[in-house]
Amino acid sequence: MLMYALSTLVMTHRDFVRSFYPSQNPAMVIERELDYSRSFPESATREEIGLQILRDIDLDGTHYVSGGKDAKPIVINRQQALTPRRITFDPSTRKIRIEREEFRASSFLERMHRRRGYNSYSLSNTWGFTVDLAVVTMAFWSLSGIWLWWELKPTRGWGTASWVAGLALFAFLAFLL
Amino acid sequence: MPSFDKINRRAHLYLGLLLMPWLLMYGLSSFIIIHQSWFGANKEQAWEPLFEKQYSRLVPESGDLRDTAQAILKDCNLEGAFWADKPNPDTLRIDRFSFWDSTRLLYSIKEQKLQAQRQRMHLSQAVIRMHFRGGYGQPTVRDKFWGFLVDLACIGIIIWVASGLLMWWRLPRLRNWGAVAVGGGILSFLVLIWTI
Repeated sequence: MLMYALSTLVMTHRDFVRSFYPSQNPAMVIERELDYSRSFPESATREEIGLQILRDIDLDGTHYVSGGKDAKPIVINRQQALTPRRITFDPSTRKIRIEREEFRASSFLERMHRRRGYNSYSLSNTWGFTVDLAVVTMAFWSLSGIWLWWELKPTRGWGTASWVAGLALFAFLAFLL
Repeated sequence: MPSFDKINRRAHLYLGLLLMPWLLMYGLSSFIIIHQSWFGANKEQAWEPLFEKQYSRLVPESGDLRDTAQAILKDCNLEGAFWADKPNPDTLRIDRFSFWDSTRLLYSIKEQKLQAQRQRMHLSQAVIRMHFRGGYGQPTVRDKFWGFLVDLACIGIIIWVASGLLMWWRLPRLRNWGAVAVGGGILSFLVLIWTI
């Protein structure tokens, strides 16, 4: 919950947060460059090539692949919470360049806020499950909170005022916006 | 004079009740975002033509388009939240959006023609729009007020967490199981952050 609240503040005040940093986006630092001799069949998709490269360099995990059309380099974006990496494979030179993103707290929070859903990696799926759990818990907290409040008779007056004010404000703005 | 504990408990309670619609909305919209196909929220809705007319306005070749876009929206009685861009040198595109619909204005600079289309949103898509809306970049007071309430919801969650922890600590009989829950949550969060 803390992470979602903080990351939302970072996202809604992105320009202000960025003003504390020298550049708009975190720098990509070259980690290593290596020769890559594996050949792929003509029919191999860029996703298959990307997955094989990740396995060969011991970086298998959640990722997405871009580029690779018209003999252009294939770019594998390896999503990691703390150190996301960009792996570029240039088929013409048969070289791989691995870059990691410099850590920046605001980017980290945004990344974790957006990370969700399920794929073929079990640890990543555990995160996806915790996101679902957090979402269901939010709804449960809201509804159980009403019940807990109703049980506290001395707070019914101000509680009703707060609740109705919140509902009215939300409904009014939802209608207007 | 009420004690600090009482102020803490009341702040937790009343803030929670006031912000409950936002928390429910964020919970529901997050679930829809994660499972968009279950709700049909990933389906693009059809655009209906609204009007097409001759229109003349000077559009800057480069730089900020928002002032021009805002003037066009005012001329069409469509003021409110919007984005503007130039998909090609001849066209100014304005997306005037609300939770429930979008109005797209396409202004052809060469032909001096303004075309408007409207796209209605499903309920699930409207809830997703509420989730993504925030900040103070849009022109109207009501938009900025929504931005303020989003900030308040975020600060409210932080206060909720802190006041909840304090309330738990003041209940000695719940300390052990509470510590297991807090410790387990922090530990599993850190482990996942480290590994995924």
